[in-house]
Amino acid sequence: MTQLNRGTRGRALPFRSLTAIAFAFMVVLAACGSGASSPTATPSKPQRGGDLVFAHAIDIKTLDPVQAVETETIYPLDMIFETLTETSTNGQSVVPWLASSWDLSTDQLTWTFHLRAGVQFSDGTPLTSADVKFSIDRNRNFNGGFSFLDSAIKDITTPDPETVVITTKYPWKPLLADLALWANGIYPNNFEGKTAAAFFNDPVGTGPFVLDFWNKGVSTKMTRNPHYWQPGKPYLNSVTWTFVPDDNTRILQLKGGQIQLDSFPPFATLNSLKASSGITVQTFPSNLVSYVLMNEHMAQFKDVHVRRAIAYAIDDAAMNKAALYGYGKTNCSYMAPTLSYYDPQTPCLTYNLSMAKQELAMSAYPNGFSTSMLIGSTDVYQEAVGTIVQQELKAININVTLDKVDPGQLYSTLAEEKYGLAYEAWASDIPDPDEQASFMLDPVGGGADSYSTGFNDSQVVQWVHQTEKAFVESQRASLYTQIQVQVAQDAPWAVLQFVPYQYAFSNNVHGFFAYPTGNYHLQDVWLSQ
Amino acid sequence: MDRLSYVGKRLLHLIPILLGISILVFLLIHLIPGDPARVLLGPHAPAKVVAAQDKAWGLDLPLPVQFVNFLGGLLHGNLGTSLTYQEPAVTLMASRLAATLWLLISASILTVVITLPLAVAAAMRPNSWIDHAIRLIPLVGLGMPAFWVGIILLLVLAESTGWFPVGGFGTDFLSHLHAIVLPALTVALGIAPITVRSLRAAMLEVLQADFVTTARAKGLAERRVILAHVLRNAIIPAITVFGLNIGWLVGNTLVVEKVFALPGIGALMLDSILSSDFPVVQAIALVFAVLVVVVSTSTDILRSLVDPRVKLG
Amino acid sequence: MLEIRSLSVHIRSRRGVVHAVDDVSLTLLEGEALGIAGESGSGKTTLLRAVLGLLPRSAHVVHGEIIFEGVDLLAVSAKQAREVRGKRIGMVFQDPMTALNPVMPVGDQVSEGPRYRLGQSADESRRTAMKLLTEIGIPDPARRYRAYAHQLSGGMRQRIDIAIALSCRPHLLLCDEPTTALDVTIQDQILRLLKRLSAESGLGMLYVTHDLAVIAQTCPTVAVMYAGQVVERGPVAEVFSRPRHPYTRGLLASVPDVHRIGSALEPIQGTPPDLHSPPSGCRFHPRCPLAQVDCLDGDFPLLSTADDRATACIHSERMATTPLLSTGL
Repeated sequence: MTQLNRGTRGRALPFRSLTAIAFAFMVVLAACGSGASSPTATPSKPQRGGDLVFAHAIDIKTLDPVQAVETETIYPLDMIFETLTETSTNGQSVVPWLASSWDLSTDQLTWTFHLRAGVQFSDGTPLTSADVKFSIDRNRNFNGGFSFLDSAIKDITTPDPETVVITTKYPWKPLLADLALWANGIYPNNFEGKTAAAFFNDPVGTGPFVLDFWNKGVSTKMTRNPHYWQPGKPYLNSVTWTFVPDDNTRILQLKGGQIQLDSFPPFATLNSLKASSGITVQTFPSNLVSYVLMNEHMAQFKDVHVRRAIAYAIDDAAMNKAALYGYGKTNCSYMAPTLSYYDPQTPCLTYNLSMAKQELAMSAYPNGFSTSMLIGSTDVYQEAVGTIVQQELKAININVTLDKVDPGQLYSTLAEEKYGLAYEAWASDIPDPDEQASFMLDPVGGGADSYSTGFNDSQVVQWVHQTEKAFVESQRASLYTQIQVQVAQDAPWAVLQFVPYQYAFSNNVHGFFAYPTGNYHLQDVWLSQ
Repeated sequence: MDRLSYVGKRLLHLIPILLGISILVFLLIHLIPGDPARVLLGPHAPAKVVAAQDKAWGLDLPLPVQFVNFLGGLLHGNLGTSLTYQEPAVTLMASRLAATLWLLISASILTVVITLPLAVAAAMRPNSWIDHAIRLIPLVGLGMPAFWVGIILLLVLAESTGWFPVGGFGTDFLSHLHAIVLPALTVALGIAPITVRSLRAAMLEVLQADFVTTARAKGLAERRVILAHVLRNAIIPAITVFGLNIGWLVGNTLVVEKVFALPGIGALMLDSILSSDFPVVQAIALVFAVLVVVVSTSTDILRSLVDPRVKLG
Repeated sequence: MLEIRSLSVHIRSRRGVVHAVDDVSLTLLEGEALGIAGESGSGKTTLLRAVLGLLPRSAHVVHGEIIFEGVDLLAVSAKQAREVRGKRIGMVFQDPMTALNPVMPVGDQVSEGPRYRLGQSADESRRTAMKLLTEIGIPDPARRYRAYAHQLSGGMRQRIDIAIALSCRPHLLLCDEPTTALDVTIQDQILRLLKRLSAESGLGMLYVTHDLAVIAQTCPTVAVMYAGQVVERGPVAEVFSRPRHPYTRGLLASVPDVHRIGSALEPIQGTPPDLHSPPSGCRFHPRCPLAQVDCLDGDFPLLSTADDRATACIHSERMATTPLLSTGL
């Protein structure tokens, strides 16, 4: 999974600063003075040229795909390195990308990929199967990062320059989705003879843009790749990502025309931003869902009735209004609605105080108990969630003390499972529900003790394993429905909200689209003059 | 003691100070729970992956060994490599130092520019409405947090008028100068209430001094009396107050750098602490210590230049 | 050259109004040196400040005229008053340490007057200052020019202070206890210097001190002040040998005298009055050995006699027969 819960990180922190509200107010005032906004007539035909400036709240940390963990690093990297497959627009499947087609053997163990003809790296050398093997092998063998998503791969061979054969250890349905992961991005075989460090200082990929400079902590600029395989693209001459940590400053820069794209306007400011002229605000469905985790290594949370009582006691609709300004959506399934096999019929433990009391009465703790809730100290949104949870659980005699810690400590505490309740958010990095299922539900196979909760339902684990080998869509779908229903009943966590990605951009930016996995294709973006 | 040997002596004092700070920072940073590998890899990365990363960074070694390694590197001028950026901490810092120095120096100059006329105007007519206004209005500024002042300045002087860029640092001398005005003003507005008050108080005290009467007895114009006699004496305590506030000033730059998207060392520090990037935090703490000592030494020297009675030593 | 007519100065304080100078009249002839004697708090410094036009913010003249070279200094504009300061009236202060700017080379403080008041160039004013420093007996003036006040001895500082007062060649020099803070030997040098300057350049001088011996040495005429008023005036020799006011007599008796070794000093009884509410009648009556019922009320103006003397005491004829330490009431 992509890191979405870092304190300094933007995405999962929809409400990072109290000043945002006051600021929103000021922006509204300013907007009143500037007159009504008139939507610019959209020219129908993309125009070539222009330089896009894109402000990020977090700095780019590395240009090496296997080392990238933060979304603000990953998305720009996607513009340099491309993958064999790519996430589809709705985020539920893959489309051919560097591989134009593929075949699966009847034993479902051997995948043969046919590379797209005529693809060149940005230095003009043609893409070959050796490059693909080198790149995916490097990620597979990398110690850490996202190599675990390649663990089903047994071997990669290159019968000819246009063909890559991947064999898996067992039938592995999610392979195509796994290959769409940025960490499986393709770079030249053996780094064209350079060391990794030297190569990533001046990287070469097949993507639409080429690195111009990376001024750490300030900005990163990329220019058009003249050898890009999609005809006529990219439209833009260049893209510059600037590092502007302050939410309000990004908004002012956008309004002042200094940037064209704000990667993270706080939810508190969206309504007022919509009112200002020349600016478009858009939210995109994401894979991101927020939860209150319950640590089953503690006796209280081992008790399913306690977990269900807590899930019933939390009013996630009210929380959505209070903390997300209504931009989120309440969710019943642990899965995001954007993922394939999401079942909207999943029965819910929605807010119901009498049910909560009833559940607690059935538990071993009918008179309640005291516990603590782990939240990040650098995030006002988490604080809001914590305070609301604290208030609501009081109604069923569960006394919660808030345990606010720095991100570094937060991660260690979660990993060491030294918490009672904890706020967390998660988004799938691949267009397949498997990454999330094995990570959150399979304590051993997922490698993370079921999202650090200790949740262990052997039936669910078995279903998860079956989905990985199920190549028939209807069979997979029904397995996932079973999983979602069972998890909702077991309530290893209280599901809070499904959170969209929000962007603000100038009206002259066209064609911008964030995929449910979070990434975007700037080769499709153009600026009207 | 002459000024040169005084500077030498202060630089020598720097050595034990730096050693002390190294130990302190090293201990503090390792006492705080939180593993940089864990931060980098996320809370749910498998433990063995985190352990491998720790090992790669040498964080699996016992603390005393790590400290000796750190000190050994220090002696060779090697402050370590950033865990986040995989780049020498010194290089990383050097690239960020410029913006912070620009900010500190411009803010200091602006503070002086704001303080002098206000304090003089207030001290020349104590308890008049001008005096009250000058003493009260900046207090409002003091009560407003720096980020708020910064946002208002951005809104009024950058976004709506376009006179200044909305954050950023520019690429050459002139664009740096253009970009630094608002952040420097934000810092200066934060510190000016303190310096105005202290300079005004010092001036009122000096105005009572006999030598001011001597100067007036010469029939000098009030302007000359204030500038040549009162201000030169009153500025001495004000310099001390300013020197004492340098730490606060440096602390404030952290917030201001964030608001104005300045690629400064404060922003790097904040980021590094949050991601437990030990080597960078250590390196910055050392550089800040050097900065504070340099500034306080400069303040002493400035005082000795202004006040012939001050003995350096 | 200077005539002070019925001058009254009030100082506002936390506890009310201090009648610091009360109906004082004095005349100073061209080139004359007049000593003003009195204890601290008698209003003599305030009187000097009033003449210079540099009263503290809290003080103001309630009544009177200060006519200097034909012009009433209290009636002219602030700008005209400033014109007089430095150029026509100079002042020497009590404590030469605090009277000098600690952070400005002393030479610059001397040349400041010529430079900014007389319109001399930087070089000219420097030469003027050097000449002055030599004139007032500063050895090695070139080196001293660049020195700071704290690097000089007390006597040297006072010489600088005098040089500053004289730097614009004034006609009248106001001296506020200029030797009090100095050693006796230095004191003597400074006094000789002042006397010489006064004699050489026809400089008028108002010399304020509590030290009667200094006045005896410097001034031909003396005025004695008590509680904001002049109580006696006359030629120094006469006043000091045959005082006509009991306060003057008390003051003289409290001065140690080498000619009277072994005899005890005889301080004046009681303490000076609180000038927020001065005593009615003669202000000295609570401490006066001669006091009678008629001293308790009314005004006690300075009454001149034919021998160029004046006293405010209505019982001065009884001075010779009344012991010092008794009270009349």
